[in-house]
Amino acid sequence: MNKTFQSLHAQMQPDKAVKAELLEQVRNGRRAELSRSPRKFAFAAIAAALVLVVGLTGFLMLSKRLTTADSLCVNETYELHLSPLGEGEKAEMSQLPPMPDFEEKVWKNNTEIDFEGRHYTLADDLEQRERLCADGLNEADIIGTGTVSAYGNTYQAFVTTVEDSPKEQFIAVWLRESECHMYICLDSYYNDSYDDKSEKEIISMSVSAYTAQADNEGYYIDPAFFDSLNVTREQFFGFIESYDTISLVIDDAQTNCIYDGVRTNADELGEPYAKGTMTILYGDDSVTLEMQAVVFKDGESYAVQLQDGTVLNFKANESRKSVDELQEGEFIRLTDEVQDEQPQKYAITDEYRRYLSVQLGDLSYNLDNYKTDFAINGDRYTFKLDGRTYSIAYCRSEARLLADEPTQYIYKQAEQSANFTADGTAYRIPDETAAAICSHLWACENPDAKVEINMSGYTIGGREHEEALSMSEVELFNSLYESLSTDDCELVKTVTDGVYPDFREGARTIELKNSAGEWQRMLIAVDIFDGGELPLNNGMGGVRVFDLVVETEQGTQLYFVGSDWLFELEKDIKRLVNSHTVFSSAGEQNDFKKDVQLTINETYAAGDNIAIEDIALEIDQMELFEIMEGIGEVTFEGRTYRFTGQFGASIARTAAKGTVTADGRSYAAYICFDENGSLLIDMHTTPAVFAVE
Amino acid sequence: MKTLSTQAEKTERAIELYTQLVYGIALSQLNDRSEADDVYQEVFLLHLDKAIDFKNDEHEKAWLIKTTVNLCKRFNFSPWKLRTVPLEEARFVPAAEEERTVWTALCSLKPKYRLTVYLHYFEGMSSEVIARTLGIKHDTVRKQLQRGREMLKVRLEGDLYE
Repeated sequence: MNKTFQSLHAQMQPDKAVKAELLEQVRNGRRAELSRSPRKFAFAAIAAALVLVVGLTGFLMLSKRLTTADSLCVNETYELHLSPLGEGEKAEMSQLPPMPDFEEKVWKNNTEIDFEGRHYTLADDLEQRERLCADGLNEADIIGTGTVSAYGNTYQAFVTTVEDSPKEQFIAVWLRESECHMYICLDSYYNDSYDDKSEKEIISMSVSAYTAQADNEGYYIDPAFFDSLNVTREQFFGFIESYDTISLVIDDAQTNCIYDGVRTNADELGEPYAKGTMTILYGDDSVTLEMQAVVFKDGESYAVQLQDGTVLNFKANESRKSVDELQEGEFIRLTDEVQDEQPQKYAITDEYRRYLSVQLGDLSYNLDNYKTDFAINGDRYTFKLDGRTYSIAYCRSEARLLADEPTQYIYKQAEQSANFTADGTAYRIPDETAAAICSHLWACENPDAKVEINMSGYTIGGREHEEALSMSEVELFNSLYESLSTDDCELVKTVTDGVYPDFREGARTIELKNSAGEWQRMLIAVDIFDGGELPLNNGMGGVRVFDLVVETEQGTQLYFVGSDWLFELEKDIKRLVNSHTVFSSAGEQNDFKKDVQLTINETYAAGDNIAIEDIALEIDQMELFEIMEGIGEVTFEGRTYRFTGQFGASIARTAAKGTVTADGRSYAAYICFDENGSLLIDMHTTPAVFAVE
Repeated sequence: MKTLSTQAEKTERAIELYTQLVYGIALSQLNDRSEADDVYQEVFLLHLDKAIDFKNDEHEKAWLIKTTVNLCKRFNFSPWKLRTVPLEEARFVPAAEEERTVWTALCSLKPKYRLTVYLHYFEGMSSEVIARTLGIKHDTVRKQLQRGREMLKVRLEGDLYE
């Protein structure tokens, strides 16, 4: 895929004549009328230009020095852009190294880099680096490549692992075969700098043990063991008593157990069942501690002896049985509460099964990078899909839904990564992936939740539109709230006195009322282009105003939002209303959508030469989009076509002429086909594309 | 480095450095060579006209990206665009069949997903840099990239996505 992208990228060059024309204008310091499209004169030159570009690049490659800013992505800041090698991909070293002064600036400007989603900091271990440099860059060790550019000069960079260290901890970056620099990842799991234990909060605990180790005698009791830890005994028991549940991973199989107090008669434990380690994840930096753990088994109960001699009792969680009994496409939600009854099972609906399969498939490519020794703790979904059993941490996107500050705070604290297991193996996956998975499961779990929406100030189909409707909360969650929780909204402040800036003319209002009867009123204050001011007057951020105001029970929240976000939000709202009407019962239909219909008046035989009349149509793109969504699907010549959401295609055949009626207004429309057989509706605008179902 | 004394020199330097960036964004947003040509020229003429005193190269690059995107939006919503059927010969048609399939799938994404996917995979910009450049949150970019990938995967039906 990357190669395809690169190849495509290389072809995306402006016409040489266009560039020459531009340069001439710039050099003359004037701005004459540039020729308008289509630039047919230029097409003849395309082949020559491409040959020239290819030839020039080839020449430069031969000279092993890439210097054309025109043919490369050039970055002025000496920034390293690194990406991992794909499966089976091999790095090619085909250049001379940069000059020393260039190289010096590269290292100076890249004290921190990103690679494979991790953040690394320059941290040369002189002895180890010397060893690496003495061995030199070995092609077989390369795990990633990249470039670094400045002022038209671009050089290759290579990433290798560092011997005896996982790539998640150390990598080495090379600009020449005999010299590298080392980078360390200070994230989550490998940081072992323990200090200030009183401030450290335990995040999770798990026990990993193996029955084959049960006879291992290398375990000892140290009553003062906790004294040497950065976690106090009080912190340890505070955590385990409040969370109740702990994950025992025995022979790589995970069992969630409920804490059942400290055992006083440790002498009656019998023979160890398995031996291993208890791992504690704590602190903001997710630091880890390990201690020995000996597991004893009695029926479905377990006891775990810690290194200080304390023995903890655990009983099997009833929900475990539910997990074992899960069928394909089923899920349960486990909680931290002690569960004496089996939790309710839910079915993943077909629609969400498809989404989940795609997400899990996508996740699987990187899953090895997310592996951790920790089993999951806390509330979670467990589900079985595509033959595998997954568990995932509590749905934080649900926390976003609540939108109150304490919950948002919790969300922010936990947003780095989420706990996830696949067939008992534990991972820490990106939070947004977890949120997406959880949102689908949440939607399956809450199919009947309803929300009311009142909208005003919207113009749809050329008419002022006021709407009040009730719809599934799931629908809302998956469309509107998804848009609201994309983090494009920057909360500037919350005011509680009700005083906030007046809105300009044209403010639009959306009121949301969820099933708990809580109202949220949102006022969108700007036109989409107001936020898209061309010059970035305040540096990087563009012109900002209070674009969005949300009234909540906690006060009036003022947000900065991007113009893209507003545009997408509005589109989502209108799409939501449209789709709601299309699929809802007749009694709930609103005025706009029921008026949208396509009538075919006249069909043309294949071969008829039909010219589409040139009529200036006063309809904007948004209305056009809504009309096409309102039409939804078209059955023509015995086949059904559904609107793809796309516009723009070349008409190969005009098949019929008809009328689109929307909101009391009629428009002439042509039914056409492109060469791929997609149906097009042309209303004297860019044709809308309908694909065969 | 040579000191660039005139705005024309500065703009010419920007053209040399950022031609592919600006043109690539325009083409990926508009999927029409002649329109992308127009936006490409307009962006750099604005650069010349506005003579902005950029704080650094990153600022200049961010300005070019934002301006290109904004111009593409205006272009997409212009009356001229709304009343014009694109000419087939103006379409960008990649050379290889597989590239054409990928390009079609890419063009089917929403503009915002298309933009982040383009900047990340074509221009090699990290999600953090994209966020800084576009003035949106890092998480948002990551989410857009993730969704863009998911949608591409669905549209490419697996095999090609590999």
